[in-house]
Amino acid sequence: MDIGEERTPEDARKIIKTAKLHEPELTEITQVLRYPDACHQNDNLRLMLLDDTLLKEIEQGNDLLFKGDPDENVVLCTNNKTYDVKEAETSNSLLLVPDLLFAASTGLDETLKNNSIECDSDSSFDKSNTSLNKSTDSDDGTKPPRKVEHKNIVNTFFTYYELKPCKPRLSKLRKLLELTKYQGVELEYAVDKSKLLTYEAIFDKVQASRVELDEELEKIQAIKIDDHYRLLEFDYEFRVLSYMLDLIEENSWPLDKISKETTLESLKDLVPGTILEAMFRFYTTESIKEDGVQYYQYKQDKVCSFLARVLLKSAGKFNLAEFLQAWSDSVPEGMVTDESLLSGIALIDKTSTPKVIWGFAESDLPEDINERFKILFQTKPKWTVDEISPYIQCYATEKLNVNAILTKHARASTQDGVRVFSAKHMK
Amino acid sequence: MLVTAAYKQYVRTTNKTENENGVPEWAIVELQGLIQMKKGSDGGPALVGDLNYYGRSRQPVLVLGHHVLAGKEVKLEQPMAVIEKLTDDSTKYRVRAVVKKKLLFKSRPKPIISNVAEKL
Amino acid sequence: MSDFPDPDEEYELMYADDLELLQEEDDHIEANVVKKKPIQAKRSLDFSSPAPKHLSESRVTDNTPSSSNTNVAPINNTQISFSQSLQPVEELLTPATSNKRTAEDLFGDIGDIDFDNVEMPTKKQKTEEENDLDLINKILESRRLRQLLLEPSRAQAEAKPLFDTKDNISLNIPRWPFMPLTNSDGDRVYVRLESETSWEQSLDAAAEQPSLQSMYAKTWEEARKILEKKQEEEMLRQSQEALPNIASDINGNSLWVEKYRPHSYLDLLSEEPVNRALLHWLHLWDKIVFKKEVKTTEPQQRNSFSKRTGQFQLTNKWKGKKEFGPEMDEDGRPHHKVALLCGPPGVGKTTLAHLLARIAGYRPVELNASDERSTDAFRNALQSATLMRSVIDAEKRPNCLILDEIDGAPLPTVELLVKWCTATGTEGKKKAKTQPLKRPVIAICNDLYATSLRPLRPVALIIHVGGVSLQRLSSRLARVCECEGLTVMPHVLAALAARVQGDVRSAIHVLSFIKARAKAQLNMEDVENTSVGTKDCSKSMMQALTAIFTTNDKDENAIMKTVQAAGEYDRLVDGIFENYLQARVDSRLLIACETLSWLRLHDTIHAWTMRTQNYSLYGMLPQCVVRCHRLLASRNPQRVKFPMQAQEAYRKKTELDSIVWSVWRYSAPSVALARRALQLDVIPLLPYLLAPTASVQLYRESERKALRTCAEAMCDYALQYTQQRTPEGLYAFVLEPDIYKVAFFENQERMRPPPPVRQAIAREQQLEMIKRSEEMANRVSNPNKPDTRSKATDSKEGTVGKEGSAKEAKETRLPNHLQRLKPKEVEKTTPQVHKDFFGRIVPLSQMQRSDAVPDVISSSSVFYQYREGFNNAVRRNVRTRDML
Repeated sequence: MDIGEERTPEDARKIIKTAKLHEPELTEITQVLRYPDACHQNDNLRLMLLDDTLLKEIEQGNDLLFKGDPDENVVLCTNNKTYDVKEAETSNSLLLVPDLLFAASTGLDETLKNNSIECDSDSSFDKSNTSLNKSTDSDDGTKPPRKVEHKNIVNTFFTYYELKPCKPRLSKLRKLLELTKYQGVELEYAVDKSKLLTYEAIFDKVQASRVELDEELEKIQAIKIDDHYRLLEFDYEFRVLSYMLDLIEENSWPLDKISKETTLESLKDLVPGTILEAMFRFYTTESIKEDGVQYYQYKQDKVCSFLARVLLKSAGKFNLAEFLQAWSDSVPEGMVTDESLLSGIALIDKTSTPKVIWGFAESDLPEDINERFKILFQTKPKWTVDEISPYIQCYATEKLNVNAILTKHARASTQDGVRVFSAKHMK
Repeated sequence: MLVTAAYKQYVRTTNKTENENGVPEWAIVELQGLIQMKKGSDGGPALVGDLNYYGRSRQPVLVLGHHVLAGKEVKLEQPMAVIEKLTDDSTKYRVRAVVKKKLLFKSRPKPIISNVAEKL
Repeated sequence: MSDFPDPDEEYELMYADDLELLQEEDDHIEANVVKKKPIQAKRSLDFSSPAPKHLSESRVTDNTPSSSNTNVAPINNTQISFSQSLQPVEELLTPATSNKRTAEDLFGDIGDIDFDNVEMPTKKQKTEEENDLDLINKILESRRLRQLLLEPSRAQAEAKPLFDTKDNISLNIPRWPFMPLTNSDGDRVYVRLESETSWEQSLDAAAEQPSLQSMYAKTWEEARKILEKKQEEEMLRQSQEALPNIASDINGNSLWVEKYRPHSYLDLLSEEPVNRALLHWLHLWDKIVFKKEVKTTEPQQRNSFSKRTGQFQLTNKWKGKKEFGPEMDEDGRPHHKVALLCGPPGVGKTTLAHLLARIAGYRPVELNASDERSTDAFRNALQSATLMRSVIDAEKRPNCLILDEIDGAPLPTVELLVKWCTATGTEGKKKAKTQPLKRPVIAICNDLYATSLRPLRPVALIIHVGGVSLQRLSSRLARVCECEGLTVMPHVLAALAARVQGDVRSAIHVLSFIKARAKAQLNMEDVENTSVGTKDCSKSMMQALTAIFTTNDKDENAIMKTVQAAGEYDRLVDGIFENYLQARVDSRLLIACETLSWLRLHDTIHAWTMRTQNYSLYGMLPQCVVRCHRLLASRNPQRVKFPMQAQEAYRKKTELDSIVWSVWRYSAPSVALARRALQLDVIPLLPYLLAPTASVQLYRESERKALRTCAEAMCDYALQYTQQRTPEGLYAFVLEPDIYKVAFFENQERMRPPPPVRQAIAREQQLEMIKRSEEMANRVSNPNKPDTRSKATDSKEGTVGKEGSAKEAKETRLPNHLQRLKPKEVEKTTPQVHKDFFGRIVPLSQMQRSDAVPDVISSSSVFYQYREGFNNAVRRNVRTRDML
């Protein structure tokens, strides 16, 4: 008798009886779970928890992408969101059974029809002896054989993937593009062409959704030159910007009446069009429209801070007063420099005499938060919240603001009534 | 050098809907415990247990070996996707099904004292 | 007396009676304005020496009345009483009246003295003695009285009566028991209370001190009779012991040793704790021996010290039982039925035993090596001691059996004694009511570890009598010398005292010899030259030894004669061996080597001679010695040491051997080993095994187990912790036999568990012993039990007869020292019995249904293993490679 393969309705009934279950109380279908042949078992299956967004994506038939280099923690990306993937382990056995019938679909109707019998048996539900007797009694009756359905357990799981929305991991992007900075046509020969990346290449490499990636590319001022995304070399960028700003004086434009056409036209010999256009986009906003002509104005903050960076880039420390003078001289007339623009770019030591300033760019700091804090506190033992915020703002999320980060990574103290942060572990 | 084999660095998951209604729905039977095979049984096919439902309470009852497990039907807080790895040139995952409900058997199993009457 | 230590209070309470008596003497002497030299007081005490007959005879002849007069003269305020007592002496034949008067004078204030009681012993004694000694007594009496009064020391002693008024009435709260009285002026006066017993005892003691006789005029007669009785005994004993009569030959007197034997507690030279230990033990017997003497003052005292120390609950308990259930009298016996005095020869063990027995109110009956000690004779002696009870109970002096030199007794005799002692009332009563031992037995030995004493040791109270301290010995010797008219420099005496190493007897013998040689003074040379020490050491041997190490210029060959005259070649050789390294030594040790080769030759020959009993080569032995002389002799005066080391080493070896032997002999068969293996492999390690690390009160299970293991091991090796009284007067648990001696030799204190642990072990062991004896009893009761020899250890156990329950006990937990490697039996797997939730056994048929009706459930190839908890907290990072 090969009961290993199949179970007859008689067997099923016998089992019900042995287990002292009262057959009439049960729905008429018995589903027999079984391990299928090895060939039917599927070891390639995984379980993955979904949130509603993802469920919707799946139901809409959209692709989901697992992204990451082999050694990176894998992320799952939809079109515009990134999820962190973790493997969860459970002590329970999860038997995956395709096509399992739930109670509603196992002849519930029929049992409802036999409601009367059920009511009787309900009273004796707990009394196993009576129910046993009843079942034995009913055994003699000519009941229709139970329906038996065999269901395969395609796999047993003890783990499943758990997805959590996370920030896209974009630090890699800058690193990728650093290698191929654009320094001007004359220096293009020096660029390793093999390292030039198309958008798709970047998308494959960066653990971010498409939307997030686009945002980032814009933010870091990557310019698509000949299908490849490029960053501008700092000096080159300054050159281009200088050309552009010089035009203001040349043409005696008011600051809010910059003509895009004139700018592009005047500089087209000096700077490739694509770059020029991108730069103009980066640094200007639309201002007023006059006579159907769109005029632009330079983003004052951005220009000022860029010029400050240029000034500071020559390295070393500056007398703060001298620097501020030089800085305000360097910007186009009418633009006002402000110390607040220097945050994230430069540090000012107000305790020394004379006060000094030196360049300290956020973008130059390491990506790893611990490394960054180490460098920060090496540079300056004590920081106010305002001072340090620009350098760690990038780590902040909705849940984790700057203060929380500081609490976690730094030691707070009060100096002259000002709350300052210092390294958590003094050396 | 850029790694041009970009397809190797990410895994594309494609949902191939298998029927018109959308994604098929499978079920999970969750047991607080382990099913162990008796000695001698290889990896071959084997019957595991009988699943019945009480008609009225809709409670599932699973007869597993000589234990009776009483369970309940639970809607998953978060649905699950069953993804299947397909390996040809590139690694792809196919969403085979989603799981929205499970049968959870977490209570202590009751042993079956079998066939006293029958033996007599 | 001056160096008599202040008695501690506790002890004083215990022996208030005795101490009172002693105190009286002390106080009395202090009260004297004219202090006679203590030695004279002693002398007067000594007068009651066991051989006073000789003494008195000699005194009568030797001492002139005038000498007594001169001595009496200096006494002034004591004179009164003295003269009072002098009168009755003159009216010798009617002493009673005057005695009475004197006593009234003396004891006028003592309200509690009942003269009838006082007289009682006299009468009784008299009835015993009078039978045939009446006439002799009279003559002796007259002689003695005269002599007593004529003796110079006597006069000193006469002063004692004064104490009676002084010391029995006090204005302050006195140390002795008292009754407060208030006189008409309202002054409070404390009058000494004396119990009848103590009074009787003091009379006894007084009887031994003839000096008091004249004061205790009332008791004069009876005391005299006691004395005479003693003289008789002493004479008998002397003839029994067949002592060499040198002393009497020369001095017309008894042996000095006898003459200067201590006669009161205070005279004892032995250590105070020792004396007290024995006396205390003797007093434990009081309860059972002197049944009638529960008196008013007694309970109070007893109670007080039982409260204080808790040590005398036995007596207390007895008292209770005595009052309510007299048939339980065997409980009143001390725990140790026998006191075993041990110590080197000559320190006064026998004397101590006799004296204390007498102080405690017994009549010492001595059995010693010269008596027949076959089992039968011994039983007779023991029985007679018991039989005497009925007769003697009516009197005041029951027997106290003193078994001298018991280490020389054959083992069966000792075993008989042990059996006798340990026989309990229940056993004995069936035969005769008198069966259980009801008299103290004091055994005396030199070697505590003599094999024959092994059975006795556990049941006996062992009291070590050490050598007498130099100081006390030399002062005693000084007194003796003074008495005998020997002039000896103190340093010479000190040297002598040092020489004899605490052996009082030999010291006195030396003095006696000196005197015998008609020398008037003892000088250093005499001390140097005398071969003292052991009894059997002849002087010539020492001389020969000295001769060996000195060059004789006059006659080269004289050495041969000397050696041959000395005989005892083996001891000479011992002496050479002990001294040869101090004699001539050359840098290359050639002399030493040659000496040794001669000594070796001697040993070889001697051994051969002894082995074959062929004395043909015996003549060679002195030649060897002479050869050594040739090698070692020098003109430098050589201080030759008496050979002691060899003997000492031998003694130690014997002692250790006997320890090993007793462990070996009595260890359980389960741990039986070859003796050598035991000695070398087991005993050195046993102390570690027997030192469980257990804190006393709060045992943990493991500690309790360790304790039990330890107790079992001790049972197996027949070791036991017995309580012994240390010289400090504390009771300490001492391991018996003391394997620490064998295991560690000198540093015996290593590894000894602390006292509380010892106590715990002792208790545990008693339990274990009870358990074992029960097992034994079970075994005896069903001897038919098949002797299953399945396991090695068990079969071994079987030989001791612990098969039945012992087997289970052994199987359950075998202590480490019994564990052996043994093959494990392959256990047959019994079919597993399935039980349902309620513990009911589920029939097998239900469990495995497939054979009968193919059961779908049980044929199912799966089973479900439920997990108690649920956990899904673990999260792991997933790397892309995991997905590929």
